[in-house]
Amino acid sequence: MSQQEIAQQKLVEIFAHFGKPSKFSKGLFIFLILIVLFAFYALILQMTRGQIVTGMRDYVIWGIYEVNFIFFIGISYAGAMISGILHLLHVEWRKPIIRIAEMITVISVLIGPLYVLLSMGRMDRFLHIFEYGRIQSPIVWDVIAITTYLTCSILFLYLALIRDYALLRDNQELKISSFRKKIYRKLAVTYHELPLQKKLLNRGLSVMSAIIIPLAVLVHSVLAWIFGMTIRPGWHSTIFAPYFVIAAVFSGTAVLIIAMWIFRKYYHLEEYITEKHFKYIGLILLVLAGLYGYFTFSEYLTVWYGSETWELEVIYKLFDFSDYGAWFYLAAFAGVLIPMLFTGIPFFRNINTITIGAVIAVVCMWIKRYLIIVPTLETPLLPNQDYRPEYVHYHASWVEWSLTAGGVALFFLFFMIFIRFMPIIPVADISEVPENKEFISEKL
Amino acid sequence: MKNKNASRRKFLKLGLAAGASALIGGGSVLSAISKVNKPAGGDKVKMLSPEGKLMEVDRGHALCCGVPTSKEVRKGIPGRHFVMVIDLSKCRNARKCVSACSKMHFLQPGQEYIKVFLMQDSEDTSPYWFPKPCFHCDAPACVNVCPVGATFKREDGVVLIDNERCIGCKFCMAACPYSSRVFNWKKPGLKPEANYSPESSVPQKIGTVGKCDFCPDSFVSGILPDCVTACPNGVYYFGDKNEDVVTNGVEALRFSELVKNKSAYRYMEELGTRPSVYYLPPVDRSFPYERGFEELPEEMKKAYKVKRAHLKKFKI
Amino acid sequence: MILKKIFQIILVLTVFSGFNRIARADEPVTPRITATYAKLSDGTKRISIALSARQNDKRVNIPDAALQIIAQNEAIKTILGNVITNQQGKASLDIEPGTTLPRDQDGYTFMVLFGGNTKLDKTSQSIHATEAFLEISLNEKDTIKTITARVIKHNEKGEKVGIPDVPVEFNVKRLFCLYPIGNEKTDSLGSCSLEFPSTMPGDKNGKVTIVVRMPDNETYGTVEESKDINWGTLLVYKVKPIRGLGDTDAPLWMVYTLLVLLTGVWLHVVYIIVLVIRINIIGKKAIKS
Repeated sequence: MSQQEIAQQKLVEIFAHFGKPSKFSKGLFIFLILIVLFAFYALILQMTRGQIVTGMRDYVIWGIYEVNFIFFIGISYAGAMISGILHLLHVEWRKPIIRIAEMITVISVLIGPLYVLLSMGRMDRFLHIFEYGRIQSPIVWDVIAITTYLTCSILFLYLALIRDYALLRDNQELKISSFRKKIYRKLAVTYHELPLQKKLLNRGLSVMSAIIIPLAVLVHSVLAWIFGMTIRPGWHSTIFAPYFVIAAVFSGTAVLIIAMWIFRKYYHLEEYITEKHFKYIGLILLVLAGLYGYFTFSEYLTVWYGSETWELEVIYKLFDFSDYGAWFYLAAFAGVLIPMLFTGIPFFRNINTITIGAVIAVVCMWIKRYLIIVPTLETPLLPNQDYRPEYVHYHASWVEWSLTAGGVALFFLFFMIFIRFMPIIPVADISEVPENKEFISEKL
Repeated sequence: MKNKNASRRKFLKLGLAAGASALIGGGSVLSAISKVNKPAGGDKVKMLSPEGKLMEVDRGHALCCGVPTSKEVRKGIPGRHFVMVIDLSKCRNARKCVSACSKMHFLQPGQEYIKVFLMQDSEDTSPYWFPKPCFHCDAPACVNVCPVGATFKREDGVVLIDNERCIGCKFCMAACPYSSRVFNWKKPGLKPEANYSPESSVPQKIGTVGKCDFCPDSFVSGILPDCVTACPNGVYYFGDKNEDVVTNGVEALRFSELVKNKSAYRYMEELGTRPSVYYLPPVDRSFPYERGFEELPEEMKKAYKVKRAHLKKFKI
Repeated sequence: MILKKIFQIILVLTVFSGFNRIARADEPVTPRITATYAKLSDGTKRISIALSARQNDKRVNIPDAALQIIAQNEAIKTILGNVITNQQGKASLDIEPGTTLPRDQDGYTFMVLFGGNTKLDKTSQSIHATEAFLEISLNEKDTIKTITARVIKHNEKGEKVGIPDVPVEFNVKRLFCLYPIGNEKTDSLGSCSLEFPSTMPGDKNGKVTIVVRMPDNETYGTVEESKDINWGTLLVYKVKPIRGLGDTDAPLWMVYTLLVLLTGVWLHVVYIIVLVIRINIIGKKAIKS
């Protein structure tokens, strides 16, 4: 057996191990199912009683559903941007982590749009968008962009999986159910590492990775335009689209780091996902955090300096500690500076600190999206003189929180299901001789 | 109610019989109070035909010539452009427009298609009451963003919502800078036996958006929107801009002269929405603004007094 | 004006408080019927009735009361029908043109009956309306447009005679109201005239409806007559289909951009699917050989 084959076998073994779920993963699975079921109960309540069960009212018409929507679409950037760009640039060290990244993409693009449905008053009429769709509406742009994006990211994930499926299909020692074997056989088409097949597959992968990048940019721009196209302070901004894109890549990268850490710990992939990976991705996170901070600064400086009354009202809601101040400073400063500290300064930089930085970034990005949506909606042009307090200030109800938890649980559930059918490490790729020897400096 | 009556009497003088209605059925003199939920505009009129038949004709919110098709509803009345002029100098927050509107549209408790704001442009200027229906903009931001064309602009200037098409995405509510739209968060309580039409927007539908519709179902019969006739102070003037006459039910004025002579303005012209609602500035007031607080419940009074606190705090 | 409003507000309050007082009163009260007669321009005769009662020195409107309207002369009594008062204590009956009513020499007599109940006495009110007519003639001379109205009645011999010295209102019909363009009083021959304003908008043919009324006359009731003429300014009204942001059809550049973007992406998707199929075919061939 060649060295390559040994490596391959080892990986297959690791993957085969996934076939028998541990007690912990069984317990986790049931726990997640319970959360999803509870969210389902909340959903039924919302569908039968109407959105009165949410905290949304006539002024704050979108709440944390919309926050979650942006959040999930944002983290989908992990696969699209990171793996797309790294693939295009033939960065060799990407190989062990791109599968995770692409899985994050597909799963979060599956979950994100559910929140659009949830924030719709009439989910039952969703098909009206196709029946009566007007392409002047950013929501229609969104529907078109996201469906395309989902299709492309599934294809991207699948293309990269073909070689692995072929490998699993051909591996005799793998003890898995005949059902799964059958699935592998179907999914592997008839790929046999023939030179022409390999050439075609690589061409496909290159095309997909090139397509997915502008597509991802477009998807998040369109998402930003839903807000940017309205005449509202804090939304009606020309930099909103790039701002959202950067924010999305930032949070997507952070989620990728967290996922890498979890898989590394849980499946003992230390050999494949190394500290080097964390440092490289950490550097990307550092750059993105800087960019994101720069956008934030530019956005608020411009608005503050312009001193328009309506705009200032929102800004001061964010600056004021009696209102959103604490959250704002947490999201805009801690959420940027701490990840930068942990990824930028070699003294602080290790796997755990980078991951902690990533967790902080992800949480703060969620908060930041909340701060983009809610304070603006709480600040109408004409003063809000409603006497009902729930119409003045938004507080997410338990229904919204449980559906949010349900979405997060669903995210993990999907992951658990996905990894039973696809290797989280591209087995075929990783055992291959490097495409080129060029490596980023070891001394980081 | 009596005020409405008074204006209606004048109205009759103007040659149009409105309000004077006759409803079939008995009932004691005093049973009336319990019957307040009759559609205000759904007045029936007794008509004696040449054959000696006594008929009942709906004079209010129904069309003379049958129910219009959805195409007609989306097109509007050709050659018309409906406008409203609101005289801020006469408003004292009597809120009769609000209640008449809520009654006529069977709104859920707390819902308001017309909101009355207490405005103060700067600290040195005097506060004034600012009734705000939907502005029925000629460049409506809400219509632009609707993904399904559920809200639409008609040729006669009216912006309506088709609640049978609306998907409840609320994007229009986000887009409208004037907060003119309300959402049916829960099932509408009252279920009047009426066939839904975007022109009447009754009955309301859960999970969809509603707003002031200018009561276009009564246009054909020449009946003014209920807010106009309900106002005890004649604040609202309504009419067809192409006919160049607006009326508040008591007096009829040339629109062009009124807006010229009284320096009418449209709210936030710089937003580019081109509203169909004009305001006459609050000069030479009929009432001191404090009068507006007199009949208000305590919590509403409080809500009106909340100023833009953050700007104050940061000394702007 | 303000005083009048205050008076109206007081009236509102009494409407609400008044009912309860009537309810408690043991003695039945005699309500008052106010009936007016109007002949509209389309020939419809309208009888408008208001029913009210005096209670504690305040006048209260009576809603939901059934009233019977009778047309009568010395010989015949015809029951026209029953009407029920609305929330404002008002009711009206429209008699379509062409309906034969019992009439006397110079006009009609209508009787309005209220049957009474435990709290209200029965009562009735009759009105007599002498039949009067309005004639409108429209003249245009050197761009000066003049409306001339003549108020007439038939004398005993059946001849037309003018009614002198009655006020006449000149209006232009608008969708929601009549726009008054002037008030005149008839001369000894029963006529008066008014110049039509030059800037009154008409429809796209310039058509306006001129409505002349003799309002609320004690003897004749209200008499109204109307005539259409193309004296108004032309309404320039063109609707051209626009592809704008707010329209059903999107701006063309938007359609094209979307098409280009979508075909661009989806062609690649198709290409990838074709690739996978090709890989499959190549594999199958290899297995066979």
